[in-house]
Amino acid sequence: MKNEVVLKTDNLQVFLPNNQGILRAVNGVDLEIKKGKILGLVGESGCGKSVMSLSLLGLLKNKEWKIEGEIELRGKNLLSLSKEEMRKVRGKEMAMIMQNPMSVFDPLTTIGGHFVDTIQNHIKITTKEAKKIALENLKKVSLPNPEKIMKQYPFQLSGGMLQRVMIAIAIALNPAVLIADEPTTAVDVTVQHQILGQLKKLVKEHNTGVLLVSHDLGVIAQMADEVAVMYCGYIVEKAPVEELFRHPAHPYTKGLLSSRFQLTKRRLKPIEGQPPSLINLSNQCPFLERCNEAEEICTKYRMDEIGGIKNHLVRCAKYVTGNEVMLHELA
Amino acid sequence: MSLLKVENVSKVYKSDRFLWGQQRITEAVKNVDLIIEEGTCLGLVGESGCGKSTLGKVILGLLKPNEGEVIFQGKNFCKSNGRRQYGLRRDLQVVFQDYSSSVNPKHNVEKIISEPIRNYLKLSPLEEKKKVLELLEIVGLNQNDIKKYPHQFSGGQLQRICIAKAIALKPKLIVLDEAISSLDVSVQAQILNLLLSLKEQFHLSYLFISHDIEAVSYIADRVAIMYLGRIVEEAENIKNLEELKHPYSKKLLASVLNPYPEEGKFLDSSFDEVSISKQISCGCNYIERCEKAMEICHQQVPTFNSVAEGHKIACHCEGI
Repeated sequence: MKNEVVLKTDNLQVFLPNNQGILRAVNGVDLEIKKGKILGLVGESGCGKSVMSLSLLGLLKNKEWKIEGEIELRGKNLLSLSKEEMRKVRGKEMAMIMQNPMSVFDPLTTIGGHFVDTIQNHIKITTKEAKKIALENLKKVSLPNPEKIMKQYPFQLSGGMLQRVMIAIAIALNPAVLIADEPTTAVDVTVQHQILGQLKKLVKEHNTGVLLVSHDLGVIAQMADEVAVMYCGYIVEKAPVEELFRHPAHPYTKGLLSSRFQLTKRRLKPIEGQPPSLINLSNQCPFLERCNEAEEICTKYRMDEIGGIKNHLVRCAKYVTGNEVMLHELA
Repeated sequence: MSLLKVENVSKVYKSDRFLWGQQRITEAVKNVDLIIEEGTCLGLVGESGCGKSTLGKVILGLLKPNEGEVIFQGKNFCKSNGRRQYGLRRDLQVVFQDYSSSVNPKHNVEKIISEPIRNYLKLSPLEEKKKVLELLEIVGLNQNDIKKYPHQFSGGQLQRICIAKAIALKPKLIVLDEAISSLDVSVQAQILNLLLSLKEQFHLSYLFISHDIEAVSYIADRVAIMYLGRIVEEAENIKNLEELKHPYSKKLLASVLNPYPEEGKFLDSSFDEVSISKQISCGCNYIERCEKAMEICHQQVPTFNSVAEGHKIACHCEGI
């Protein structure tokens, strides 16, 4: 039962028709989040990472957003649920950690109040019992003096502490899936270390499946078990973490890795140019214009063909036809 | 003569006094000495709230220091009269973190970039346009972009426009206040490479303020580490950042996340946060988080000791 899939998306497509055309934010994403495992999702800003994570929770506010495909949480199709049923799923079976801790909390409610609200929304217990659960969870994220924090207001805590409180609230009801959307982008580097360490520990303890969205390759490398690289709404590469960082196959992944600084002084090799607009995206490879390995066959390639080997999937013309190329490179 | 000399600068922020309440004092920058030589880049690293941006503003003359002096090209900026400040400002430019709020959304690119040119040089409209086109080419933008407005650009492109504006008058020193922090990884690399080639081309000096020690080590010739208003370590020509000795610098280095999982170096949740209470203490600022704290650390503020050539450190435990 180790590799039980808790959340599965099947050909998930999210798009927004507007007056300029159709904005295709997520294009045919197949992902599987396994119990107790962390799936990392990397990509540049504007590539559809956040839209995807919001669509999983049914949180896309604008009603014009169209979602197609399937989202399956423990055998239940989330897209067929009504608004009220979805509300019961959120928080209890699926929770989210947002990027900006300062704007998530209600400034007029104490930290304890936030816990009690969340817990009583899903289970029928007294406020006293709910507070007990809250205290336990605050202790789990090793915040100093949890009794005092329960009575404090969000503005009295620092960003790093609030982020940890948010993690504590998210895991309070022991959800099956946790979606962390850039959980440490807004905090300092030393605090980032602490938060990520605690998150990883808690996830392993509770056996929660996590979708970790980030643009920082360092975070992903340290946290994730499996990595999916997103570009223009497509998952262009998916592989176990060590394999992806050791043998990146897609030119975009290679570019991302080489544009990261290292502690050695080496001239950086950035990816030239800008990603294309998501409006009326064609079926062609969206990376074609920026790719330095582009060839003749790339112009004929369509994005629904997937290449690669067993657990290392690549959406690139180079790997679709010849698996030998890949096996050769991996060797 | 060095280009910029910061001598014993302190900056204190005071809150308003309430009815009976006490005035709160925040010491943002405390007794800082820095020197920037011509054609070099000084990297200033620290966590948020440690006073690095305040120091940048003091150097730019946007804030007046409570104590100490900032000497730019041999002249004291704060004590100069308006006319002289006007002349000095030409050689002192800045690029901010938030690119979208540092350009006027109602002006097109031509107007944005030509603004500093119009302030200092009297050029005919045709020459002005030629100059703007030249600058656009230098920072790697298309010449057709000249009539576009800020909302038509992406973050990286806007930051290039801000850089074009900063180099328009061929300044001597540019303060880059977290100039790449809000950009994407791949774009960060583009901008850093652009900054490096501009530095060689125009013989610029940079003060590169950032919280990202990796980026700083890539671009800077000298690194200064700042903690709660004080510079705790300064090192020159660091090839290997592991040579940094101060306990805080070591902690910063350890917090860099390694993208190669097989190389070891894993997450460690024992890191802690800066305490918000910035009390005026008589000892070392780092004492609350330091593992090596000794008796003397509580009593005396550490002074700078030189451990190697061009490498200074302010700590009681190290470098004596």
